[in-house]
Amino acid sequence: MKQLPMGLIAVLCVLALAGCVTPPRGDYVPTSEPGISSTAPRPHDVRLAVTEIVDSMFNEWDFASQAAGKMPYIAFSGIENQTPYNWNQDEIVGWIEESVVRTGKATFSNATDPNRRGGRSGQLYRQIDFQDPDNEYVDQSTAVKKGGIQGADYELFGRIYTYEELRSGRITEANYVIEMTLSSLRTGGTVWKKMVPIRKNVRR
Amino acid sequence: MNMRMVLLAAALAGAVLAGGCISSAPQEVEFDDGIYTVKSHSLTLRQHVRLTRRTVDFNKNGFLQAQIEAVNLGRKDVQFQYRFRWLNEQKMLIPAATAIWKPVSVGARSTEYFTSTAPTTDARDFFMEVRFVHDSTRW
Repeated sequence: MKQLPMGLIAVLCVLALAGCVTPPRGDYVPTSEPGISSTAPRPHDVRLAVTEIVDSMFNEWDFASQAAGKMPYIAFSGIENQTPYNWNQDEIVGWIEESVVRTGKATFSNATDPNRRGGRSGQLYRQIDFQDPDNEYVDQSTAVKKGGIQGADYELFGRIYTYEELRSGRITEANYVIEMTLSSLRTGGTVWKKMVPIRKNVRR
Repeated sequence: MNMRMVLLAAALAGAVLAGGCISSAPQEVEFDDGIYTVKSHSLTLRQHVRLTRRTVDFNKNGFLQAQIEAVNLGRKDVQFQYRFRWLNEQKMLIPAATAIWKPVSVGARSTEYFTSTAPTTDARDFFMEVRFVHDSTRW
């Protein structure tokens, strides 16, 4: 009777060690493969794609403003989602914006969201209106004057598209492409573009 | 008493099983003042992937770019994850939204290049971390 628990412990320990030694039973994953947990886009897929986008932007765009001595301003005008999945477009742009602003070489305009009359936050113009000279609650020596908002130099936009999922045995292959474009507002020309493919092989 | 021991052993084995299969400790290779510093094992990872060359340059925007060349000496593909971390002049870590683990597969007998660009122009040095992980096969 006493031997039973010890035997069980030994078996469990062997199983535990075997689990750690067993090599992965995964399939070949290409270099550009981001995440293999689901055919649907996952947050890690977004982060990996954004990493490639930011790397490309830092290397291929020259961070030039179209006005001398001015930091370049970028206006985000949306990402068209052509997939059946819910991509969080704000997250994609959020990561890009955080990375770009942190460099101190360019910034994003918060005044140009066409869907909100108050800028991206919804409060920008209201805050400026609040500081009007006729508002007796505001110390006019510290008030922001109208006419100081800087125009954007560039427009950032993109689209996401997908291909039909392919099933082969127990493997499902999903493909997406995230495409981002930076366009000059002065000339309308493309100054930078990046297309990031995401291919996922998911075992059912 | 016996039942308690069985339950304890099962819990212990479960913990070991889960801990061993979810992740491995990171293996790091650092480069400082012309000297490689390997925090574990050697420059040959898992006795298959040899890190053969390190290249660093500033791009036209002043960002540090890094490239590590790796050769898979084995006859099997090797899969692992890596990420670049960046240090400023004072050797302080520069936080970056893009410092995430990237999966990679180096084909048998082939060469792979890992590249990354610093998150700010303050970066003066870098190190690459490597870890070997695999998904659990127990469902």
